[in-house]
Amino acid sequence: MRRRRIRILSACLLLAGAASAYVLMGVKWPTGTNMGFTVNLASAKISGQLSSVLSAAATWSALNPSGFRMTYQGPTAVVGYHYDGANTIGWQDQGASSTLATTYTWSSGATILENDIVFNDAQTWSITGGSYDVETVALHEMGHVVGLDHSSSGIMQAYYAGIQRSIDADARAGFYAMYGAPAGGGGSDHPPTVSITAPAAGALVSGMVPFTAAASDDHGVGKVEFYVGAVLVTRMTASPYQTSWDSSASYNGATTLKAVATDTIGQTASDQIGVVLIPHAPPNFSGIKKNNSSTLLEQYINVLSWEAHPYNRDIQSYRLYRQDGSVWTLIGEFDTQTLTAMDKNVKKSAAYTYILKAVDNGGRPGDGATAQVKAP
Amino acid sequence: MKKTFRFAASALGVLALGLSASGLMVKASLADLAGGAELILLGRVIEARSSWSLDNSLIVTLTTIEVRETIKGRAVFRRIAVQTPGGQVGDLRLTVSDEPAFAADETVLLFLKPLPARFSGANSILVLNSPAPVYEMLDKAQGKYSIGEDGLARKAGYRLLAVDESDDTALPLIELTARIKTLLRRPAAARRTP
Repeated sequence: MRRRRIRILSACLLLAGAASAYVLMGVKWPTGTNMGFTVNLASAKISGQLSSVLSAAATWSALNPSGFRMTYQGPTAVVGYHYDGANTIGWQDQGASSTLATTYTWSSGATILENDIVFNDAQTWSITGGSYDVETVALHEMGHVVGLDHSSSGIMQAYYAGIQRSIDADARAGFYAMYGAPAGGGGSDHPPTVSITAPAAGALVSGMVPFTAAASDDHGVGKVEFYVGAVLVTRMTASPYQTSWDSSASYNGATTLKAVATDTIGQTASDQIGVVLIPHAPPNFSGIKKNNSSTLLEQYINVLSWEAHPYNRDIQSYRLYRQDGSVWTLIGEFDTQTLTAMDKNVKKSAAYTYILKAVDNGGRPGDGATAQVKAP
Repeated sequence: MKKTFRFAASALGVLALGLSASGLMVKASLADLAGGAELILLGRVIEARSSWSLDNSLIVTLTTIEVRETIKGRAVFRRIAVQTPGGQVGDLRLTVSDEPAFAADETVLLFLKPLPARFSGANSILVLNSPAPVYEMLDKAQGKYSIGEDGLARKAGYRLLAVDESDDTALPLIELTARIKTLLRRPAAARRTP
């Protein structure tokens, strides 16, 4: 008997090397379950985890909502593994260890009664693409929630292997084996399509930039994620897929915008454009009128000063304009080392308005900073 | 013939266990395990008992191990116990991700650490009085090797189909212990990989 068992295990190892296959825990929720869950974020070290958790839940729920789905029921003060009839997700310091998150599955016979997920707050978490990615770990743990054990690859592999925010075909097949495939199969699902509708490719942008996309899929779009460079701006699970990018904390110059659509079975598509973020307005732009008089001459000057914007790079000059009636007059153009300027021969009793713009190496002036110099 | 705890339960009057490993972890190397463990031992699984915690919040299991050889640390008693969350009481079963499965009479090489205060203090969730010192697994199922009759040590805390554990997965026991001892002689072995 013993030798036979070893042979069987060896055969299993060979099979594992040949192809991945989902592994079932042997327990599952009753088919048709709408599993309500609450989330406790009180002890989490980063903000925004809720959207990552909900996105993972939406990804699983979208596979076949009539077979099994998860519904967020709001926040909770509870964290942990207690058998209390409530399915909770939360963060708790589980100490320095290799554990990223723990799923507690309460069951009777082959039926799951309750699931609790505890993220280890002692780890470093990220929602914007760093390690450890909340959504990836949530997606994995929720795989256990539905009844999947570890597989040799994909989202259900035992060890963290980088960001994966979609359900691979192996895990999907395991889910369908337990809860059934959606009407229309699940195997005939086509990938989604997505295109960025604003801004236009190559556009000059600044400030709050409208960032919108159109996405579609034959079985439904699960989510659309908006990226600036590699940074996730936001994630939307319902149309219209419209958001805004606050560019004030991004470097000027050429930037890539990307939209990634994921359908209900984890297939993805993306669209990417390049835009140019014009220079930011120089901060702390201000002016003061000074008297430069002597016994022979009475002269007043407006002394203007500003600071370099921390997110301006490859700037070639600053342009200073003065408002004369309805006309803006160029007072001067200064190199990037110059952070102060004088406007001479101004009137003592007059107030003046100035605009200062940084100019990038492509000759593109940026947003203007405004300063007023009042009469003394 | 190796017996599972479910089979042994009827004879021993204790509850059956068959915890599966599930969850997500950062992979610990053999050096991590060797450096981080307070006690590394080779032993044989005697029995397991599951019960509710004192606060009725959790089912936990004490698995008794008969110590055959100590590779690191000092096992004062001939038997030690390993406490793991999860188990089955009556019809209710708790499966906790990443916790190892033990089989009666199984030969194991374990990387252990003392039970933290939360398991032994005033708010203890320890459920069974143990005549043997109680430890917990280092890095859960990653801290367990199962030794087969073929003399191979397999990192069997996870299901065998689960992951590609090409390093240290199926080593002759003698080679595994030699590697551990070599690592323990190196100062770096005491530090975990960042």
